[in-house]
Amino acid sequence: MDYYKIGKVEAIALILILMLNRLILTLPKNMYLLTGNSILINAVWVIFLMFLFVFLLIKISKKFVGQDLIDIAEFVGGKFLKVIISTAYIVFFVSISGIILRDFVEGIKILYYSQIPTWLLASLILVIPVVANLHGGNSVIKFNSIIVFITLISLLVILISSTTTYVPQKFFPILGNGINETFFEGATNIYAFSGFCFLFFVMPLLKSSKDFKKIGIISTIIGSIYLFFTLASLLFSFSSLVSVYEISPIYLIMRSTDFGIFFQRPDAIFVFTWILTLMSYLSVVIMFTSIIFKKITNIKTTKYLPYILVSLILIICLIPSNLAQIKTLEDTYYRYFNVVLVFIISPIILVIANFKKRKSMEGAKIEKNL
Amino acid sequence: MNNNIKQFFKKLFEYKDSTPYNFTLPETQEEKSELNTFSNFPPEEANTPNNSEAKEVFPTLSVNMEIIKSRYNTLINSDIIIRSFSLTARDKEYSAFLLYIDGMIDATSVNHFVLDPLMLRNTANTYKDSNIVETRTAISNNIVLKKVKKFNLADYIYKHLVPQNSVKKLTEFDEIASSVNSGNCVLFVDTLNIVFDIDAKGFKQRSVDKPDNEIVIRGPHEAFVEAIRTNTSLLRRIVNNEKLIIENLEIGELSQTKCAVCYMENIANSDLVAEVKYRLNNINIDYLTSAGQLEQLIEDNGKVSLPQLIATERPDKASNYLLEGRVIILLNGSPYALIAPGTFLDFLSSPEDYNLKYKFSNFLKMLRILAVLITLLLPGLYVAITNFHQEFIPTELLFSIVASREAVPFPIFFELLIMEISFELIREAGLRVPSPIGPTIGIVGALVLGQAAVDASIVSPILIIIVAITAIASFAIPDFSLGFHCRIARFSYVILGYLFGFLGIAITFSIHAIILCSLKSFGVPYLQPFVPVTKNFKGILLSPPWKRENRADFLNVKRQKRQDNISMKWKT
Repeated sequence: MDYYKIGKVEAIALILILMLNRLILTLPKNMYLLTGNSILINAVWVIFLMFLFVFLLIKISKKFVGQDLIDIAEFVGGKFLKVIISTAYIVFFVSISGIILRDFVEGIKILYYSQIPTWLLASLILVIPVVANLHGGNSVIKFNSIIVFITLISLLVILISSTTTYVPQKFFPILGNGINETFFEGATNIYAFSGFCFLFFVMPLLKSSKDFKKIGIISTIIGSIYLFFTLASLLFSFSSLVSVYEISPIYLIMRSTDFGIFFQRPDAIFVFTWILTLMSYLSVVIMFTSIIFKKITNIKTTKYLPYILVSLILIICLIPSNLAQIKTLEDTYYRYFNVVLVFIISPIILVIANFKKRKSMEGAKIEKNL
Repeated sequence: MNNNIKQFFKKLFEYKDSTPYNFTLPETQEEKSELNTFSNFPPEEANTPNNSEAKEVFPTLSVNMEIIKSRYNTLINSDIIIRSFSLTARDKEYSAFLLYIDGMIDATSVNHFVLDPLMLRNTANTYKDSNIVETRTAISNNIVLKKVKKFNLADYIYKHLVPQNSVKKLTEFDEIASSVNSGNCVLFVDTLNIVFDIDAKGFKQRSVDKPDNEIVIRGPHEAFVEAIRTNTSLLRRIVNNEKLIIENLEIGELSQTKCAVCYMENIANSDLVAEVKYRLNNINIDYLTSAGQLEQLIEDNGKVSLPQLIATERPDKASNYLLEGRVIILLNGSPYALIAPGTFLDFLSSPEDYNLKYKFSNFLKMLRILAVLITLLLPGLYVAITNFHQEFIPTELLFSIVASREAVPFPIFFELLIMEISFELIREAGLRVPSPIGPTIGIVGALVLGQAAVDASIVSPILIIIVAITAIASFAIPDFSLGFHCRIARFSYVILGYLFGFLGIAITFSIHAIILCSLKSFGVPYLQPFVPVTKNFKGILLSPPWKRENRADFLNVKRQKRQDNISMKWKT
């Protein structure tokens, strides 16, 4: 697969794609269920944590220009750690994609395609990642840039138009389910930014490594704005009873918003953009998984890898037998696997790598002085 | 009388050989050789004289004549003229002959400026002198030293006897054939192993006329013609700069079609120019007759129906692109110039854009983008909405659609397919019929068939509106090839829209977008400058003329700056 060097816009789009998918699906609802009415305070807290994380990441990545997490893991713990981390990320990407796909398919099945079997809908969506990856990494990245742009605009339209239904009194009680749920347990809501795991892999693709800082900060700002306003719409527009519906909260916001006489219910057009977003996300995931897979194996080409990965995603997608299982998987497996891998293990590896690098540099200095 | 009756009956009952006339072309070489063994004709190789293998011109005139005769098959070919005569040079007579193709040379020029000076006696050819010509004399120790030059007939003819502006000396028969085929006449002289290629072209050709397919209101009304030299002169006249390079190439083993690669030496990227020439030089085909054929031979991805090179019949449009750093390819015999590279936005631009105020141009550009979207998506969306997403449209409209379809027995998909295919048929028929009947076809097709189909309850009136809007939108796409692509691609949107609603549309749209993202035209990504975003990207709309400081950065041109930051100095 060929990769060209990407600019800031494409990199930001790569980082945002997973987050947008989660926002469209059940992420806001899961966050709400944990914190209750204090969701906005929790959102500010999570955003603050996220900024800390991104600044830390920028700082500790400075010494590893042009290297991704897999290279850094190899530097820290040799091939063993490299394989462990790579495998963890491959499992993470494939399993999360399967769950997200199933979640989405169940959603559109309820809305429009009750007659079409789940496996067929999932297979249809998975055609695009295969096609995109067969056309090369460049196509995936460019395609993703277009789709993220469209999705951001469509989400913005929904969020702006939903402001007419806001009831500010729903902000109370301020601390929602309690301080513990808002700040301590609520800190796990940082998994809303799980898409930022691509930050660990985007470095070698960048045209200029100096852009890494800007990319990290801009994508955090955009992501934070969208997260905050999505949660605000959910909080101010619905009562807590409605927000536990199984259908995507953003979809509910859209359904309850008046768009004028001609487009009475434009939800289908938004669902259309979300299908595109999911397809783009799956394409990106397969691209990164292929990159990681190539790094730990000696395969000459990743040309046929998309077929295998897509098959795995489809199998995982079809494993849960009902919606309840998917929700449980999302709320437990996805949340904790994500937090542990992306926000704990990966930064720890980077910190250790920094120490190791510093030591080796100091050692080299001493040798020079001697 | 009796005899006549006898003859009549004889003819009536006479045995006639009923073997039918049966001519079959052999398909394989084995079949051909089998046929040759039974045929009375000698095998093909036997007909080919060895003379045609000769490469260099011989000093003996008769040999050259034999070679030419066999090479051109003068016994069969009626328009190949070999005019034998004796030319006088320094009062000596030499046998010579002139070779040309009747109808391709200017007879007056040949008579007055080739045959007259060579055949008629005049001061130039009757001037008497010895064969020794002194060039320099020096005296050393009372000895006169003379540097002499032997009389050279070829030089003498070249310098004194052919008063033509374009005369070349050729030595190879391939060059001679190429020159004669292009309309020149060639002079063979006995004792000389070179020939004189005299430019005396005089064939009939179309004069520069108004463009037929790219009509503008405020722009120039000149179009390219079939003659390559006229086209290059049109470009030269507009560009008006000596840095315009026009390189000639020949494509086609047999046709040797002349092709010109034009670029601005101080602007165009050298790698781009080299790539264009590389592709053109590496086309191994027998013949090439049109720019459309050439386009397919040099484009990056032949499997995709999207246009990858801009084709234009307007010299002003070609010149604009030339000055932007692109490369123009002209082909002899084709009134279209090819411009490389071509990006998606270029196919949405019209030559009128630069002639109008930028606000008008941008409005038109937005309309064209809308036209592309309507052409691609509208029929598919109609099918998807009516089958899967009925809640999308107002209830009243939905009722009217349902009411209008009440008497129609077919599913919407089939109904739409009937109308779309009918429309394509009408369009194709309108192009093929003689021009006076063209409008009649339109009236018959659009009004009579449409109305009749609605009355007969084959299709619904709303569907007629959908198909009509799609058709009008497809005509608003400025590039013919892009319009064609959209027309074909919309069928896939219709099919998948019918099967899976918006999911199907999303799948088709994604595949379409992925193809667009993966395409490149001569090394330039097809969606430049917006995917990936380039440094000087100012949006897809045209900026005001005073803000067009830079050339497109994706072309990586030698001269990035197009104008000063403050171009309207009179205002400052």
